Amino acid sequence: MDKHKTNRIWLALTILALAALACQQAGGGPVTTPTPVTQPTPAATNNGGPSLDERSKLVNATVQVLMQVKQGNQFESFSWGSGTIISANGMILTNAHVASPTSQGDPENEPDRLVIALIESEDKPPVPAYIATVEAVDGYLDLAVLQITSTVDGGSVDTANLDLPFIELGNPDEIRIGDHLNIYGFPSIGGDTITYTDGNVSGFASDEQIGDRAWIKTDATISGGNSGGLAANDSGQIVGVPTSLGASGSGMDCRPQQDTNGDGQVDNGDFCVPISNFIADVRPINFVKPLVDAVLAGKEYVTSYLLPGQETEAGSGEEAATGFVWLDTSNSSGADCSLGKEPVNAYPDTALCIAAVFEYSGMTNGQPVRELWYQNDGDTPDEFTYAWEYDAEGLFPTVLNNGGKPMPPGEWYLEFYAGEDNRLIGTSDKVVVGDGASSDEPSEPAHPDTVTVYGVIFDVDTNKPISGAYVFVVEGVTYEEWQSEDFDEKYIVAGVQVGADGAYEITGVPRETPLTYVYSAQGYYDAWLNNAEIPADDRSIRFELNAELTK
Amino acid sequence: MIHPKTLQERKHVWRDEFLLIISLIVFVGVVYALDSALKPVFTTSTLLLTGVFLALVPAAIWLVFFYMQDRVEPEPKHYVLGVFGLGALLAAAVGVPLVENVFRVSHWIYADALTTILGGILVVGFVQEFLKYAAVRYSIYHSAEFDEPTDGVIYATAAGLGYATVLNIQFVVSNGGVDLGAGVIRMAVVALAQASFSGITGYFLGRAKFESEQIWWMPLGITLAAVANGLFNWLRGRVVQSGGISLTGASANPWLGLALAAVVALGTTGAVLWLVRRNLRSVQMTK
Amino acid sequence: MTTHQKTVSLGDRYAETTVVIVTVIALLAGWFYKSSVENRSVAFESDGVSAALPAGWLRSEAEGDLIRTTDRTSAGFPTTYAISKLAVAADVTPARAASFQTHDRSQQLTGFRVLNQQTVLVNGQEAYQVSYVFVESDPNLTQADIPSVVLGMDYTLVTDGQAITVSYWADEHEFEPGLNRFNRFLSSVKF
Repeated sequence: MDKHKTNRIWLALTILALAALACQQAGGGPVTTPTPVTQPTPAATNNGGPSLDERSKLVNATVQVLMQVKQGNQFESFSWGSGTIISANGMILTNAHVASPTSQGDPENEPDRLVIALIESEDKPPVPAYIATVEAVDGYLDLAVLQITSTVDGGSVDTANLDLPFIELGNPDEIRIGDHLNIYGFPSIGGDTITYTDGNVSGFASDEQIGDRAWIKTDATISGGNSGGLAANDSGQIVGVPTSLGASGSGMDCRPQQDTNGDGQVDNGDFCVPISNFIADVRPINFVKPLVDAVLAGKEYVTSYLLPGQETEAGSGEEAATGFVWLDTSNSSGADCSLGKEPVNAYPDTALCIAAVFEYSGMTNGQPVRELWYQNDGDTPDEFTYAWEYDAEGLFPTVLNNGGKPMPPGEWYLEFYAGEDNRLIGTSDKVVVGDGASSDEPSEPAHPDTVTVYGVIFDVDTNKPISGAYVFVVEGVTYEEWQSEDFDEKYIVAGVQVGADGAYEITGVPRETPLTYVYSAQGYYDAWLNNAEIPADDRSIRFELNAELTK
Repeated sequence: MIHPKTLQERKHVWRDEFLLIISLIVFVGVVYALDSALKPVFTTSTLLLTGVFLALVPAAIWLVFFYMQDRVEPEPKHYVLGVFGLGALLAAAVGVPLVENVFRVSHWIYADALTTILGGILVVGFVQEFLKYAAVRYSIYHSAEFDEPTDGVIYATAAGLGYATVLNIQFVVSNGGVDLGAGVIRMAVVALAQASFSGITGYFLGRAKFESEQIWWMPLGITLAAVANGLFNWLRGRVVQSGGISLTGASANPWLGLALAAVVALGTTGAVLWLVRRNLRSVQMTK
Repeated sequence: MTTHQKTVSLGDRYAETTVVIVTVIALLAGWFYKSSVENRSVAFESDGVSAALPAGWLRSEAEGDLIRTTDRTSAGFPTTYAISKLAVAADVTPARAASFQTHDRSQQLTGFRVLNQQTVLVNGQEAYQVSYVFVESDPNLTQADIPSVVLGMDYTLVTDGQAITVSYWADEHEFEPGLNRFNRFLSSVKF
């Protein structure tokens, strides 16, 4: 009888063991698969394009611009782009990187001459017909205006009587998202004949120097040679110049696909052909107007934009200012600060100016810099912001005077900032003017008003940090009150999610302000510290606040 | 007639349970002290193995104690072990997946106090207590070896410890190894708690077998155990965090959780065994 | 060995079943309770768009979204629902508007890939659904963390020349389990 029962127990255990194994294999309990409401409907319809006449006009006004370099007695084409004839007497609009790469900081690819090839038949490659020179170029906008000057074999042309087919400039300000764009050009892929691709306007991009609508974004496939071609609206007006190497940024993938530089290999030296399904950028045509106006007026066109590298950028990121030394200024008189050679720790209270010299490195000509002279417990600091005009590295002396009067006594500091992001790159030691005592403050440096609170969030039961936990600093409510307000985010002063090491750091926490710290993580009870104040007289600037959470 | 020695046994059982709890706490203290003093450095796998080993200790202590008993009517060792194993299997195969993957308790139960308690009772409590009940009910309940009400408590406790061991192993494994000092405290709390709740179930089971009880008797037992389960878990969370965080550091105190578990274990064990004894006497008197 | 004689009562016979029934009832109650806790929501209304946001989530109006709410208790990448408005031309279809939104995402999100796209019906209204994946990483370089793979789903709806996109972002492991909750949120969006 007992054996019977024992067998039953073992049987039950075995079955359960198998069930346990099976369950673990299946990965746990059932997962409810959601079924969103779906009912596929047919795709949307296309818009109509330009009419037959307009199209033929567009085709005829599109030209191929050949970039040629002199080899011995011959000219060889090493690259090409597309262009559009915009006036009957031979003004051609194309990209700057086709017409004159030098304007973009690429003098090595500068062609010796530009040849314009016209379309005589849509199914045949264009025929080189004229030579054009660059009349106006803007490297930043990547636009250039050419003027036909002679025939390809050197004969002269009478531009007044050229009567070439040309395209009017449209108004890109009327463009809306979803509008249809027709792109004509000579792409590097798809052969030598003129091709047409189309797409829709997917948006606009802005850039720092120009502002909004600096670019029209389209989902059309624009490949290499299309640059400089034309983008027309459905009324047959040119509204933009496709620029495949869109300066408005990422999302583009390109591959070298043809041996465009003629070196016998398809490699990175060749034209990088954008591959499909990327955002292409079209430069709106209204930026062409200043170039065209300049050419028509016979004036030189000067771009008002700065190329990358020319503008005051954030700098190399490696700016540094070290080795601050205060120099003797006892030979100064009036507002004229004269630097001695001796380093000093203090100035007499009759000092008319104070002078510091430091070693700098990694500076970029033209980048903004800022000098900040301040005293602890003094008046508002003195700031000087200017563009760096000096070398990349060296010694830099600078002075601060008081307009001919003795410098205010006390402790002085100099901080040096560089770059458009105003980064602090060097600080001097303090220097004392006068007897050093400033009113009745203690002589240690005053502590800053804000502190850093840091810590680690632990699990009590495992003593390990909890990855992915959150810290919230909340002002004006306790945890219980915040909970009753459904954790409204308006109270949140700071919210940080810790990483795998469970550590967090919150800077800029003001002293003497009651703040509630809340720690929470998935699968744990919340922990909190209500209305904690960092005391004003505690000199630490970093406070450790660890939290332990439990399940 | 009840053997006079049987009556004495009741008191032994209470004393043994008391000793068990004490020895468990001592075990925790020893491990914690060793861990703090020696500060051993483990590789991940060693830490994992040590953790799993430690998870098995509370049950081992209880089983050893139990086997060393010179009982008048000793339970067959393999029966107790079998129920222990069944409790563990049900935990691994059904209990843990149900709570973690189906109900996904960790995602919502910590929202606020009411949710923690209600969810703890309805979901976690009922799942765990029912499975432990089933471990006894569907195995040795009808066996002849289950021949007195105390057996109910004993077998149920075995199932509870089996469940707790699986929970503790899962605790170690899912965290990739835990700090031994902190972990052993939690393991002891889980073992004590699970054993206590099943003690309640065991009492109800014992009486159900040997007396005719109402139809609501056993459900009441499970419900009480589930309520105790839910309330205890919430209370432990509150107690451990009762210190609160302060700018000078130091917040949670897991020892308080252990103290709570010990008190609860002592309390439930004492109450259950007293109830069993009182019931036996009353039964005896009616005969 | 003492044997107890007892009369087998009705209770004994059905005790087993009753326990099971009571447990099942408790679990069902637990399940409904869980659903009610998870579905707690807070009404939101702004700019012609109204929705029921999950309670206890952090709200923000960051980065051009009409509303963005994140689950402050998610491990890893915080599960996020967002509604954003798009300016579109008068006759734009949801598909076109969605393609604009998708292009935007492809430029802003790292490792962006579109997984699936189709036209669907949301609350009886035509919408375009795009599912995609990207990699999210805390831009704070001092965080020692493996970046998370995030699954996303956009529903783009167009009404009267206005388009909104309702988005769901979640860590790849949380995406499926949380989809039900998102679908409930999606059906509460009125626009």
